[in-house]
Amino acid sequence: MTPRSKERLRELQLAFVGKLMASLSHEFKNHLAIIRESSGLIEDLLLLEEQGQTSDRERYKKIISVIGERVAQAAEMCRFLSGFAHRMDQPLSSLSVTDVLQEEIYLLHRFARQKQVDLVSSFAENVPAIFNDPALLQFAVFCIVWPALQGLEKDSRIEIAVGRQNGAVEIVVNLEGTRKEPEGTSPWEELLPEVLHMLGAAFSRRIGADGNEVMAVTISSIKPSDLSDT
Amino acid sequence: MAQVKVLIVDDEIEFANTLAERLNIRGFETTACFCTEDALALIHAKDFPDVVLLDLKMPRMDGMEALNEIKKYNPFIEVILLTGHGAGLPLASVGNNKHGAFDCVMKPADINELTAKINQAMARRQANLNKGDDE
Repeated sequence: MTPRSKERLRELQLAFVGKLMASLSHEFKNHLAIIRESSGLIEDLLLLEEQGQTSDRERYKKIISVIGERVAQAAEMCRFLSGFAHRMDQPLSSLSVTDVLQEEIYLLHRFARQKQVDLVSSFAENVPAIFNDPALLQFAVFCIVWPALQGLEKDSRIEIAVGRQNGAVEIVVNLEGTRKEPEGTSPWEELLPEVLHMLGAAFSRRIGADGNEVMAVTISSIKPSDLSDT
Repeated sequence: MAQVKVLIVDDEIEFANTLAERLNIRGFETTACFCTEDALALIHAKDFPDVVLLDLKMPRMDGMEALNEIKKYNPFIEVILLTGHGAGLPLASVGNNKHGAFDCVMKPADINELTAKINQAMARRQANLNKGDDE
């Protein structure tokens, strides 16, 4: 990898993390705003009771349930976020591709919702664990999904499937819907071949019989010595 | 004095409804909309409201685009932008003149701060309407 490519990789990995952080902190604030307004509403209703308005226990129960749901959703978000952050603890580790991608898909859902694109997963059972770089794998998948998300029209669908492929793991990204013709290659797509090379992964792109664009990444375990040239 | 009419536009339905109820308790007449398209349709149909609380980040037509549409239709409607963005970002993206918005409030907002802003926005609306009458 050339010094320029290394620099580019660093820049885009930071941009990837930055995009996720911005999106999730925004979502987190939405949960906090609802929790704040709901608890504020209880205060308001208690104050009205003190002024003589009759008490409505069911109303309180409903508001408390909203608070509980939002706390649970925010906690789940933190769990995924924490998992994502810890993927970077070690450059190489034994990993479950489905776990790694489930986490990434969860974190990407908000972007998809904003674009009104359905982002779904379809994971086979008994996918073998591999020894590789989980953070770099998430970045590679982002390099595929992000440009697709930017180009797809609303009501499109992105399916990320994971299955076993001759002892390796195959990740298939299927784009259903109209994709606007890109003005050029995005920096994410430009860097993707080098990222996949670092992961020891193979890549293919084809148009399926139904006209959908299908991209596949086949990845298996990597030896630490394979990373010496990166 | 007539009730101040407030339209809350936010795709977080629970947030919009709860805020509407809290503002109702404080004497405002409120309506909640969960997308900018419905909000614009309501504004066109009813020549309503006095003040709009408008979330910036929404699917399809976002808050900034809706703000432009509202101001094009009726510049006297005051708009307060709501955002969950990090500090500094909203004002940087909205710009110093706020694209005609009265102000930009960060979520989660304090209800007292928000009611004060609505009252200030209403005062500006009244002043602008009076100025319009004089001219």
